[in-house]
Amino acid sequence: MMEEPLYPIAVLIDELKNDDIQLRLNSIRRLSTIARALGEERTRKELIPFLSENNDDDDEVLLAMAEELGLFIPYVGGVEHAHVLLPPLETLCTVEETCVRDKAVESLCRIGSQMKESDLVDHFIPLVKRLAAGEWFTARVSACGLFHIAYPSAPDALKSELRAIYRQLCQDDMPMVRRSAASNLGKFAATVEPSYLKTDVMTMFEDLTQDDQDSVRLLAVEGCAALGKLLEPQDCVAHVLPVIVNFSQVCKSLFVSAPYTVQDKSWRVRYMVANQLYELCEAVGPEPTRADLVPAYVRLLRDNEAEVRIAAAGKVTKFSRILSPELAIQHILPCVKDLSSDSSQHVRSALASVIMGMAPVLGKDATIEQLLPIFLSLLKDEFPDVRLNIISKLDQVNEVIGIDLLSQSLLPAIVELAEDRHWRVRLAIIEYIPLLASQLGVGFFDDKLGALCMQWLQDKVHSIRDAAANNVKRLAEEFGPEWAMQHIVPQVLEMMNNPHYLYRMTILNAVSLLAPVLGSEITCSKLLPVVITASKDRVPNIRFNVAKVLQSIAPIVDQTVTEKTIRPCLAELSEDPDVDVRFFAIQALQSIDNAMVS
Amino acid sequence: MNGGGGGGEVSGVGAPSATPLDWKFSQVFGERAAGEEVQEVDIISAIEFDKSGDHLATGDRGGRVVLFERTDTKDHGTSRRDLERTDHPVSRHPEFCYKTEFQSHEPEVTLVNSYGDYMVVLLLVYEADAFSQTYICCIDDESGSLFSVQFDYLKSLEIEEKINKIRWCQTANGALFLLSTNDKTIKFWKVQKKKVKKIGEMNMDTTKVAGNGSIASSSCSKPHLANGGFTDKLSSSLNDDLLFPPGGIPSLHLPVVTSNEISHLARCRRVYAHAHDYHINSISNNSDGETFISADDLRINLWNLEISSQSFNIVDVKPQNMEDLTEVITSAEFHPSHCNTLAYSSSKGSIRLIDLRQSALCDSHAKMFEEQEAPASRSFFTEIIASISDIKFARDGRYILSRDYMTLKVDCLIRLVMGRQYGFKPCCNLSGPRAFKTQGETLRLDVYNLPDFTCQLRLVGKTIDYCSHDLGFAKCALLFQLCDLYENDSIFDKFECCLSGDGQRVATGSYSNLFRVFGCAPGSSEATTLEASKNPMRRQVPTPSRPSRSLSSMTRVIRRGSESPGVDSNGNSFDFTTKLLHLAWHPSENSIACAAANSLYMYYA
Repeated sequence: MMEEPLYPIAVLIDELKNDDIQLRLNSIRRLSTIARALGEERTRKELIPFLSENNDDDDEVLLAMAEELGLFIPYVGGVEHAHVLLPPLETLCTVEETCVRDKAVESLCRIGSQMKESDLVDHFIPLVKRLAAGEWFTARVSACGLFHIAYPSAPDALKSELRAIYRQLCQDDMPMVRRSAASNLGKFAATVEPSYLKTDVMTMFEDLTQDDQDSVRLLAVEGCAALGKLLEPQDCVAHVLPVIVNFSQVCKSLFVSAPYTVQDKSWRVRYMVANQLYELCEAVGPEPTRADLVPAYVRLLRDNEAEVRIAAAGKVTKFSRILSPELAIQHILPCVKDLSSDSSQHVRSALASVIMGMAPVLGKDATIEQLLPIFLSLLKDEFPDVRLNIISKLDQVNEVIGIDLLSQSLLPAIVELAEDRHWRVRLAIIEYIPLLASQLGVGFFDDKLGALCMQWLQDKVHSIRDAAANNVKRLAEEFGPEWAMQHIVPQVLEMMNNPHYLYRMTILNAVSLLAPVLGSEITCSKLLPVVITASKDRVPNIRFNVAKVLQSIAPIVDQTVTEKTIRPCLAELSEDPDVDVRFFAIQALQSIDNAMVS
Repeated sequence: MNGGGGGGEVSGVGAPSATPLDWKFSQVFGERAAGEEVQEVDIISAIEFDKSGDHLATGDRGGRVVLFERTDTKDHGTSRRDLERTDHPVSRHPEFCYKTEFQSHEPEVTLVNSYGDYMVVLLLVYEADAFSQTYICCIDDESGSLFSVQFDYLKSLEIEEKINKIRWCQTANGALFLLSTNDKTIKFWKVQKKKVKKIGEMNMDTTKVAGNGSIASSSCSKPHLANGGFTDKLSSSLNDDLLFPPGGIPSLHLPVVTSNEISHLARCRRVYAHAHDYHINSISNNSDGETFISADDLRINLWNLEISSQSFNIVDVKPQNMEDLTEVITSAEFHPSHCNTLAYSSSKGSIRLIDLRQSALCDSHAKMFEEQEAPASRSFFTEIIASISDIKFARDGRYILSRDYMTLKVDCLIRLVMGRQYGFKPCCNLSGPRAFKTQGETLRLDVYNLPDFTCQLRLVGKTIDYCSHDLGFAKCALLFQLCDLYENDSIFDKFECCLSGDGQRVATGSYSNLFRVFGCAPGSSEATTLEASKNPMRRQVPTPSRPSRSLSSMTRVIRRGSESPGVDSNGNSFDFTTKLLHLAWHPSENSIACAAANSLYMYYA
């Protein structure tokens, strides 16, 4: 039997092989403890080989193991022994579960980036080569993610071998491997010397962009911006740009298809191009942007697939920012106009969420003349999401044209959303009320929106009432306690007389939220009496919520008030016939006592 | 024809495919003894070979999946297939042995998606009142209010455990992966060899206490975890670096694991559920190795194998008003190599080809092939028997095989060179049906070598249309027979079909546990009838020499009642209670696995 202090650690070690997965998982999570108990040498000689054999465990355990091993260098005796960690991670790189492999690759990269150059050549690079030649695709998939660590420290001969291997992986039989090669190409390319970048890496990129599998081309396109930034602008224009521009075109008819151009029929590839295009602008510089990318982008904005238009519309602002105002007004704005009346509500919604950002780009005149009509039409959109997206970005447009111009159309839109029959829409608009209040100012708010805020406190749906209570608090923060005393507190407290206990509960919630904002004085004079009265409520749910509220109010108010008013009330509740009321009352009393002691 | 490196030994380039194959019995699993009752749950409902042909899976009505492994090639799984081929003489035919089985699906009762007008969020089901009525909790999604309604059994759905389809996925690390589905839920299974672990040499040698080493660990650790003292003590010791001497504690040692036995373990990795309102009729993997589709009567959904929480609807044929429904999806399959092409068949006998690249929602198909029946030959049954029960792509993706109640068709995917769409073109429309049926001509159009050729489907075409006779029906008595078949619901039987790996032959099942193999190479008149029994050639009938005639002309010529129903033109009677619905062709060799009730028969040639 173990001596007493070793007992827990011994159990931990034994449980590495327990039948219960939770216990195994627990042990793996404490692997560093086990390692320290065994010492560095035995960790290297026993624990690590032991873990290497432990590769048929459940995925959860393997995932945890992959993660722990990434942080294990200190426990095996520092960087000079880091290579002993490679074998177990190599096995984990070959398992079928993607998340385990990804984690193992991540850990290998972490270890590899700390290893000495000679160790990398002796241990890490052979590992990458083994994985890349693995019999199962899983190993080859993992290999792709390790090249950017292995490559920089390799001697020249080995470097060209590694490039050749990567090229091979880009042409693997398995689409999974090609996908991995495509998504890791950018990282690898960043480590490759510029001279090989133009030759070797670009050939790989071109191979991948012509792959049979849509999913491979998709990932190749996704990485094109990263690749473009590595290249000199003129190379980027020569190699990356044509590929992307051609991807952006829809193959309308085979009659017009010029030979030897790649035109992608897949909307998913165009979707990806639409998402990536603005990043490429930075890489190629202004002139090619104007000549090639703007027309390409306009094509995407007018694509016949709604999904592509959604992606393109979502980038309108980012793209416009790169362009000069004239170009944006000339080319992009007409498309934006069309999109604002697009047949797909999702396109309009995507446009509405970013269109506000165009205002600073276009300047005041163009905004009022061209953009404002679009705002207004979107604000009247039949689809609530579109209206919500416009309202959520109101501050941006306010900066440019001021709220006066908008407020006329704004109010009907807000009121309509506030009374929308879908509660999720109502919930969304409540979130924006404090923002609106700050933009519109006290006067406007008092007139138009105050009543709505009170109305939400009595909504049928709990989530709305909850949000409304929070909203009241945020308004009080925005406009200050004095304003709140006048415009919120009386109305809110009035609702405490509602016959339905659920509404009374909402008010209690609002009170507990308001108290810290309004300060001790108002709390004592206005809020506390109402809460104390509620402690006599016939519904137990109200009473135990009173106990909770009192607990939260106690730290705010004066100690004398606590002693005089709160404590007696809680004492009474602690003898309530209902068990829950007693529980919360006692809890509140204890918390008050603790606060006093400290 | 390149069958993925496996086509070599089938009927190679030299061997004339016109020579009919000589089928021999190979194996039977689950053979019934004379007079033995077939248990409903044991009836096989799905058969599928994996891509290499080294494994075979069957699913049954009891929700079980049984795996078989090829035994005539040694060292399967560890060495590459081409190595195996050189090691073993070609004369061997595939032999399989039972590998393992697992319970894939269980029967369940579920609520249909919408409960009246409300969305059911099944928070609790409780039996409340004195009449022991069951209530369920619902949320009105519009107002968000919560209420309970009385449970209505009619609005609930009993989901059978029956396995509708099995599809193999990419093998990795020697573990097998497959998808199995019942009417509603698809599951992703991993079957791997697992060492049976035996643990010795624990730190906590509690053999004396517990008397059994294997449970020692749990028995001694549990009390410590239960009262929380153990973990607390550990975490406090964790922070204390001085606890462990620099050299470690020598008395501690790692558990030693010994294992000698190996067992197969099936684990359900993912469950793809709640995406189908109607019954799933097919699942199919994409060639990209990361996605698959599932099709029910009205919709086709696209899934990523790694993500079970969401799927994308790519085809939706549900009309606004269900009364307008005239056509349902009966089967769907991905193209074997073009990741963006899939085909689905309908109850009206049409096959639609769709291109996933064109649009996110592919309701507007790229091309449809529908055979127009002459109005004169229409009858009450025309539409019912036109319903396609199964479609299969040939391995090279150039042909598609479809089976409706009476016929088996091979169609070619034709790229219409001058148009922007491609799709099926029934050859009969190009050169007249009779010419085709009798002469079996090959239609060949020129292939233009376009730069985007790789993304396109090749053309080359050929259609073989087998007359209904070949499927085992007496055409003369067809109408009477159809009445009978309708009465006993047999007319709704869904027969599957399959192609050989080299695409030279096709097979499909019939009644009386018969199945038929046809040659579809140019000029081939091969048509073999086999019975799923140990003596497959028992029912062999000579291939009819007369040219087939169309259905309408036959019914006109033959007088009513001239032959009794259930007897084909060769005088063989048919047993409609024994039907061979499911069969599969080995991907690289001439070997067929077929299911007769609960028995799995295998044949080779």
